[in-house]
Amino acid sequence: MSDELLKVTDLHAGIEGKEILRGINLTIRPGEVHAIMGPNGSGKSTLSGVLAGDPRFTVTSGQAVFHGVDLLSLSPEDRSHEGLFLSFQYPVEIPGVTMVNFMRAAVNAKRKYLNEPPLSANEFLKMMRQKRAIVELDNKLASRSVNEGFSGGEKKRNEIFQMAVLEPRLSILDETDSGLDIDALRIVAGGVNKLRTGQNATIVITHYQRLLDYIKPDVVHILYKGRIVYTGGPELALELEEKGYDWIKEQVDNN
Amino acid sequence: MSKYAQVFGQYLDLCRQVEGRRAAAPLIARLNKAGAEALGRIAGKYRPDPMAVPQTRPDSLFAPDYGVNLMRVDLPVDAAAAFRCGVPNLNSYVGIVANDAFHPTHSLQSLPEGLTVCSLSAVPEHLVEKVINILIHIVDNSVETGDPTEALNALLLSDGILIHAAAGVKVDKAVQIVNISNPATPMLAPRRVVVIAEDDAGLKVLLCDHSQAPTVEHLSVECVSVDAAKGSSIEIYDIEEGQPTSRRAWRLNARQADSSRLSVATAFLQGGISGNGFHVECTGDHTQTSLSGLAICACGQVVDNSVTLVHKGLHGTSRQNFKSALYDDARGGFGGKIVVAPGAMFTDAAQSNKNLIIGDDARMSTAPQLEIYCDEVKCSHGATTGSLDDRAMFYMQSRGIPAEEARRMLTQSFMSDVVDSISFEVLRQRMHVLVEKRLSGAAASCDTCATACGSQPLNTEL
Ligand SMILES: Nc1ncnc2c1ncn2[C@@H]1O[C@H](COP(=O)(O)OP(=O)(O)O)[C@@H](O)[C@H]1O
Ligand SMILES: [Mg+2]
Repeated sequence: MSDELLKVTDLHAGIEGKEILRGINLTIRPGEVHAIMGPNGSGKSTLSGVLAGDPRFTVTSGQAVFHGVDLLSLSPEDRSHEGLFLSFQYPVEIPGVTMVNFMRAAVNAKRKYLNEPPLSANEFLKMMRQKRAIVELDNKLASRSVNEGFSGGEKKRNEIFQMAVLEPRLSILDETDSGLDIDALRIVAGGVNKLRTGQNATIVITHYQRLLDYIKPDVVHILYKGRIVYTGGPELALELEEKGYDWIKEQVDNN
Repeated sequence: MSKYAQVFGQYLDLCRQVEGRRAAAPLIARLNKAGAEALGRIAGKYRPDPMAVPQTRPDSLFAPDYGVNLMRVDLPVDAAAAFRCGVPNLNSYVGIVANDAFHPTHSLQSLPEGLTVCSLSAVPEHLVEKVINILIHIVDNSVETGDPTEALNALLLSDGILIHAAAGVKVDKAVQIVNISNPATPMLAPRRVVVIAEDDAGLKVLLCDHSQAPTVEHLSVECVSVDAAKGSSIEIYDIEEGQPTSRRAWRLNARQADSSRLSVATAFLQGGISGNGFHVECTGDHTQTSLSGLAICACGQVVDNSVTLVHKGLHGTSRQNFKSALYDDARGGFGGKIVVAPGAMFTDAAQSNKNLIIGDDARMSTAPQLEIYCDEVKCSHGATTGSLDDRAMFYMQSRGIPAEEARRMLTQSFMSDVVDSISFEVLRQRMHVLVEKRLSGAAASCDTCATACGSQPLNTEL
């Protein structure tokens, strides 16, 4: 068990009485990269939201154990403090809250949770500088409101910047590649790779093989209609790229 | 006699009993008389404004049997405590009003040439007629609107303050009036500040309301009477940091001549029940008016802001921005009326009222009104009442920011444009801090809030 970072067992969840996740099983070990692929509306974002504690979703049964902690019993903030990070498919704009204040609050909340003293202004700014460099994020964004007026690419780089700052044990990247041109994609993927260690793990949710050329997965899952219907190695992603999802849909729908 | 006539009539009776025995300067005696006449006419015909929050209506605020210190019995006051004000170090000219009596401080002894700050009972001879005319005009006008507050204040007033800047005199430092309530028994304190800027003069006035009476109900009846002459500029800031026992009937009445600028910003940070009325008449051409208010209310606090802004001149510009954040079971009200009189062409008036409902039992009522009797004008108004953005909340929490802090940050950002619009820089910075401090306390439950009120976190030197 010590070598399981996340173990999801028979997870069912939904929204407003409608079941979306219908029995998810997933085990992730330190150092691994898992890709979750699947057609639109399969439940990929729902799974990431449920793991991060999005209050819109209701878990109806099942478990998620995160390095020995009952993940589903924690508040979203404590999940973050325990080392879970979600890069949002649609990062939220927060008018009037500057990036600096947002990150300072996030960093110091985590330090408080870990019984560490808050960072001094200098230490904090130094860290911001270092982490920004990882995704080549413009310094000017620091004084702007969170995600407000950011381009699509800036928003995604901003997500990876936050990931770099919070140093999570498990990162879930929900369609972090969508809407990125090839340069931005390379920067984002490069950032993710720089942050990889043997201790942490990544779930890459994507539609396309493209991102997986840059972030090499160890395991590829196909999520369809709220279940993981297929699990394989990196070659599965290539197969999907070639053949599309129809063969999977047929197999599942005809059974 | 109607029940309203009785509520207001009790104060007329009270004054009749001491008629001829009130020691007052001639100016104040004339005002008392004008107040009595006006109140006599209003009391019978008074009808409560159906849009106002009931607790903040004059018939509710004036109903209790308060004592009024008509005979000027000396009440002790801890003037030093006034300096435990939330906005220290402003380097301002400070006057203190203890309950209803004005106490100048030494900072008023060496005022710059052309600036007068004095008791209404010691107005320099050459200004007496001017002051009385302004006040009688306001009191007479209030008979038409049917609001008894100005008349009651005029009737009961024993002392007040004149702040006057002579023509061309621009005063950089603010004149700060610190009001302190500390009665031992339930008391009504009439207070009045008259602010006059002559042609091309400039004034900044900061009004701070404090209370040291957490267990005794007290009503402060405050009238701010403003006259902005041609080309003058007046900024008025009002900060309320009272107690749950504080009741406030506050009225600002202003008249603006050609090319004058008036900016009024109010902030309710602590208190009980606060009913605030703004009546601004832009009689001149090319006037600029900015009115703003922020209110942070929790556990039973009630704040109502009601604006009547009348454009009578050409090319008048006005901006109104009122915001409130309501926690627990707080209640808020906003009534905003813009009147564009016939002939007030090229008026450009905008009004915005935005409210954040954070408590499950909090409520807000808002009633914007436009009365436009003229073509060629630009008028807009917008009112929204909503809760915190739950997507933003989850996003912040997912980054580890605790829900309470996320709520505070979002509320603070919601308020920030009102604070940012304060052009007086020292005060703007100070207000950001005060709002942040207040929100840290407001987010807590009623129980902890009451404790915080008792320990007066905002009144101490920071
Ligand atoms: N907020 C929501 N309200 C109602 N239905 C939702 C909501 N979010 C997702 N769904 C539904 O849940 C299903 C899965 O959606 P989602 O998890 O976003 O899929 P994916 O990320 O794989 O495209 C879809 O049928 C979608 O319509
Ligand atoms: Mg999705």
